Amino acid sequence: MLIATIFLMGLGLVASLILVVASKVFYVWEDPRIEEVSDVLLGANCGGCGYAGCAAAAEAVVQKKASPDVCVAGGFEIAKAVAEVMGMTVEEKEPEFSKPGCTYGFQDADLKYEYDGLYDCRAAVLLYNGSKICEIGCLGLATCVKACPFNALSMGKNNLPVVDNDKCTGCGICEEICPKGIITLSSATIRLMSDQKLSECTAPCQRHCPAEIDIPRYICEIRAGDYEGALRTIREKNPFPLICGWICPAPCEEECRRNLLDEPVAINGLKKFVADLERKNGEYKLPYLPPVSGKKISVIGGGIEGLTASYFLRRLGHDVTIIESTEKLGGILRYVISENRLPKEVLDWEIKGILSLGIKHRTGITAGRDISFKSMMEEGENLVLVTSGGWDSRQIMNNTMTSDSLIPKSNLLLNFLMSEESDRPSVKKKRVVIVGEGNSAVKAADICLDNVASKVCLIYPFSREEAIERNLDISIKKNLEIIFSSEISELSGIGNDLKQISIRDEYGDITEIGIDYLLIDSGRIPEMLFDLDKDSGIWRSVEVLKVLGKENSGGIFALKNIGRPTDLERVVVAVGIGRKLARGLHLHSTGEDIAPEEKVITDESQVANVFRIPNRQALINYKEKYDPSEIFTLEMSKDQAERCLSCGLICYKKGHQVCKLM
Amino acid sequence: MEYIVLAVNAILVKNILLAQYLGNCPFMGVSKKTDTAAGMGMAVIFVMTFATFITWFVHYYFLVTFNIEYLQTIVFILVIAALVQLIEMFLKKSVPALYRSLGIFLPLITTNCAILGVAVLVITKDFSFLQSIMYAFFSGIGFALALVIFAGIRERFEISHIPAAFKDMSIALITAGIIAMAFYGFKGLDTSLKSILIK
Repeated sequence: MLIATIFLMGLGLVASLILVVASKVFYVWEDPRIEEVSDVLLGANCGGCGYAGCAAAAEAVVQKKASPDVCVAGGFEIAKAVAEVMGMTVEEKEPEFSKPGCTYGFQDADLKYEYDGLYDCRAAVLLYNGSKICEIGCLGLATCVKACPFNALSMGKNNLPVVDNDKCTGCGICEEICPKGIITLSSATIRLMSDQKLSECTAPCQRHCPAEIDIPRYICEIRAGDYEGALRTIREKNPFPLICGWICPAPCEEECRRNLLDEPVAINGLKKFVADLERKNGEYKLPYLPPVSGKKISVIGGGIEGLTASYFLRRLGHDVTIIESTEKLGGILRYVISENRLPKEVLDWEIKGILSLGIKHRTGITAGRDISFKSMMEEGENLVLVTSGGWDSRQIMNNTMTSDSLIPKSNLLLNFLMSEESDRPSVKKKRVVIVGEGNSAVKAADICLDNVASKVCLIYPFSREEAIERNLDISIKKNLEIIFSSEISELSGIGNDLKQISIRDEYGDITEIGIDYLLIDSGRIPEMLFDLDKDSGIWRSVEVLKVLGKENSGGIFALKNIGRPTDLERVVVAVGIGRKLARGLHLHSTGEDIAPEEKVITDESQVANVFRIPNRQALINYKEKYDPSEIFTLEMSKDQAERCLSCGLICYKKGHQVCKLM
Repeated sequence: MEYIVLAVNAILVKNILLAQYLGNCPFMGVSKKTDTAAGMGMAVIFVMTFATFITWFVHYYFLVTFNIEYLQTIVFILVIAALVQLIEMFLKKSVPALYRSLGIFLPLITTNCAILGVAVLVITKDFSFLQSIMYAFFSGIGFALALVIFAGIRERFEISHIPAAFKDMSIALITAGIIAMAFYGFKGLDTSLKSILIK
């Protein structure tokens, strides 16, 4: 007994001594915070962060290789806890959930063959890209469900995955494992930043909407009675559902698949209905708003395009100020569209709603005259977006607010040629620059030379070879210089006199030429942005940023490069453009390339579609399309929503299937 | 010659996992992926051999000497635990590459009954020192073999259609039983091998 006790004690002592010595000898220093951070992390080792497990992620955080919000699955709570350990701060991000992108399971879809193999989408896809005819259809073999480390996915009755948003952490494992890329991470921010892609299931109406609203989804929400949800869906792409409800010509309805049966669904009427419902309730529902980033952005022009861009820029977390030269926001909708087509209270309601997101505005201020572009850039608002639309910046040259004054000492080529000899402005002893691409420009040059112009410079957009091909008379004349492959880049002057014109050649090099008189051949004088230096009275055109620089570099952005008109013929087009501008500016401000997304659906892209509906069953839901000018009642909206075929690329509701919210 | 029989015995006939049912915990726990199963198998081979090496000495030079064999279990546990800790520290400092591949399995093995089982078995079977070491080494190989085979099968569950009630642990246990039955077929292999060798 004694021996046993002594032996055990002795053994324990020896073992502990050895371990103590060993722990000193084999000591490896480890940052204690690594352990603290890994204690805080979920420990699911899902790999959603891109590191091999939670421990590796913790190590990366401690080594400052990853930010505290590395854990995509943990969300803000975990990020806050990690930041606490590290003594850092994090900002709350909008949660992301996975979103299955297919609405018709294989029992409802058209199939190439019956699949009866390994129960896994990755195996099924090897056989002619899966059994569905639709190339982007969900194969329904639950690979994503099995892969989900948080049990947030389950297989629904229609053989499509169903996401439990309470459990979904947005880790992105399902997105990675889906061989067809159908289930993806999604959030309002992701959706408003992205354009429709070929890899997404889109309905014909949606593809035809210039604003790219997810029409089948919002109609589905209306059918389910979720009017707020429907409005939220619309506002992900269009902040003006009510205005569009009133005046949009509804190109979506032209493409509605229901046309193949009877009449289109009153898509626009439904939009107007949900938007009007909110107005009647009098409470403007704010979307998720991220905390304001440090980026200040000035948006010039308070028209639809500018308001849309401001709305989305604010939703992307920027501090936006709209600068409008007239007294009220609204642009063409306020000053051109008549009251009976669009009541002013409708316009005011939506503008007020947009401003309630926290967008500042300064009216009665003309950019370029009252604030110079230079000062806007210097004030820290180093990003300036120009959405002046159909308005004209030339008014800043003199202090009167007229837009009918042309660029001084300039004329349209056609007017110059057509006018009588006596009416022509005198070009004697003057330096004339002619911008044109036809023989009319050469003819004008000859006239100028006959009238003893001191020098004539012809700026030709194409190369010398092309000029010869187009039979342009390029014979050498005294005092005539032809500059090939070039365009105007800048124009400046004092008061009513021109001073200098800059020309950019095909290599991007700039040449400056003194100028007294300008003749230009385009249908309208190119739209340029002018900036006035009040002290010297010199005005000059401001170059819109074309080549984007590094992160945080400022710049002036506009839809198109100077020299092209930017007025947009329909309000919904302006909305679509406004959102794209906001996206581009946001990407630029975060230092990313603003190149357009890949595989975006354009007018030219070939998208699978249905051209004939053999199944007349859908006629059961026949209800006539109501007069779109009236505001729908609840019942009318239900009738119309019921008529929607909930189309996908080639799927649509046949008979009485219940539509599933996408 | 004797060692071939010993190897066949330890690996196939008396497989530590499938015939003696020791170490079921890692058998179920780390058998979801073949590469982790292989890592675990390597760690077990390593620790099993090393632990038996030490415990054999402890038994014959301390317990027998002091006539306190009844303390075998508690002493072996203590020795194995301390040993694994020591190995872990040593690897972390001296062979970080090996530590990274085996490291996470080592603490799991500390209290593993397969290790203790082999350490005790070689004593009860009255093996000589070399026999003990060989037996432990081959048992470890048997463990690794069974674990990797099992993990390979379990990986295929991913793509097969299993009724909801049988998912995860239940189907794993059923599979383990079927593999054990398959290994039962090796029974008698050692005796026949012996008779062939004697001839």
